[in-house]
Amino acid sequence: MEDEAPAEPGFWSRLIPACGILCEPFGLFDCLTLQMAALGGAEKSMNERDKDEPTAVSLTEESALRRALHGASAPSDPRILGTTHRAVLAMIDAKVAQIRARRRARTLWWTACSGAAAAVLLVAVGTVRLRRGGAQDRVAVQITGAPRGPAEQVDILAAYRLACRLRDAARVTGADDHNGDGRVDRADVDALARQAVSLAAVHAGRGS
Amino acid sequence: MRLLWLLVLAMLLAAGCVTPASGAGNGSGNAPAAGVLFLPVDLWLDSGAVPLAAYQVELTYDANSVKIVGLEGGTATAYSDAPYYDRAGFEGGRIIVAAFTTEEEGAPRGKVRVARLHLAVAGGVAPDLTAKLMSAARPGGTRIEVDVQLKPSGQGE
Repeated sequence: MEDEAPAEPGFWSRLIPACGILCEPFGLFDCLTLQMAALGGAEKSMNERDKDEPTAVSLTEESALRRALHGASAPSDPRILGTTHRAVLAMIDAKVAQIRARRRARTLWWTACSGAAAAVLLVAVGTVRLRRGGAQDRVAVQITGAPRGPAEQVDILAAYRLACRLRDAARVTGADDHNGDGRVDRADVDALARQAVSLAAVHAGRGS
Repeated sequence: MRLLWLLVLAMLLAAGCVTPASGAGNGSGNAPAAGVLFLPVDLWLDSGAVPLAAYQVELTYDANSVKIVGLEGGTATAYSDAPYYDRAGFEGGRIIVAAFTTEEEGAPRGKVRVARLHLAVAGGVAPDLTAKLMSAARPGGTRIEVDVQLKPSGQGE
């Protein structure tokens, strides 16, 4: 009784594009191909039979018979398409649900990976910045810290050596940034020289 | 208005010209004014055959009678600019002067005048001034010993 149920309206208009888009990777197009082959089979066999065994049936009768066969095997015929439609639709729904689930899982996976990578990058950048900032702070503390004692009294040779290193483009470090401006240049040489001739530093070293 | 400005400018120029003229009329460089003797003193260093790349000298004087009123460089090209010094040393009885050159070819050898101090000596007596070498180096930074002398200007050359 179920086979005689009328086909749902618009079935083919939904089925064909859906199958073309979604079901090709899963072999469902083969099912459609078979169905279409079955529908055209009667006509083909009739034509072949006409070629092989010519009969006395008139053209009018042949046309009528062909129309009748076509009508019997048309897609809108509820006797043929009832269960098939439902089975194909169920398969399509199942496959679409699988595809959606996979897409959702893939999207979640990439989102999670991107988030993790961004978090790792942020942590790395923050760590590097903190370390650099800490180094600069240490240099600044060293420079602007307690007054130098007698042992730390610099002389003009310290300035001379730093000037020679700058002249030779030799490697300098953060400890050479004596004026604390974040770079090592002639101003640091001048700062060292002024420190060498500073009477306040000597007095501080003497405790006066 | 323009005439007024020109008048003010002329007065300023006149005032500026009168001051050195009054000092220059008192003698040959030594300018006693109200019992004060202005005396230029040269700082000489002798490094012998070794080129002098850097020096630091400590000068002491009697702060009660001597004030340093100026400090300039020497005759050697490498030390023609004024040396490094602390301005607090102009009146405190003690000053440190230092200079260096990174031009190895320009480092002078032998006896050279590296600085000149302008002193104001009260009472017109000869100042008690001493110099002590703190450090000196040849090109490359190796410490060397140099002879230090202080002489009134015009006597060391």
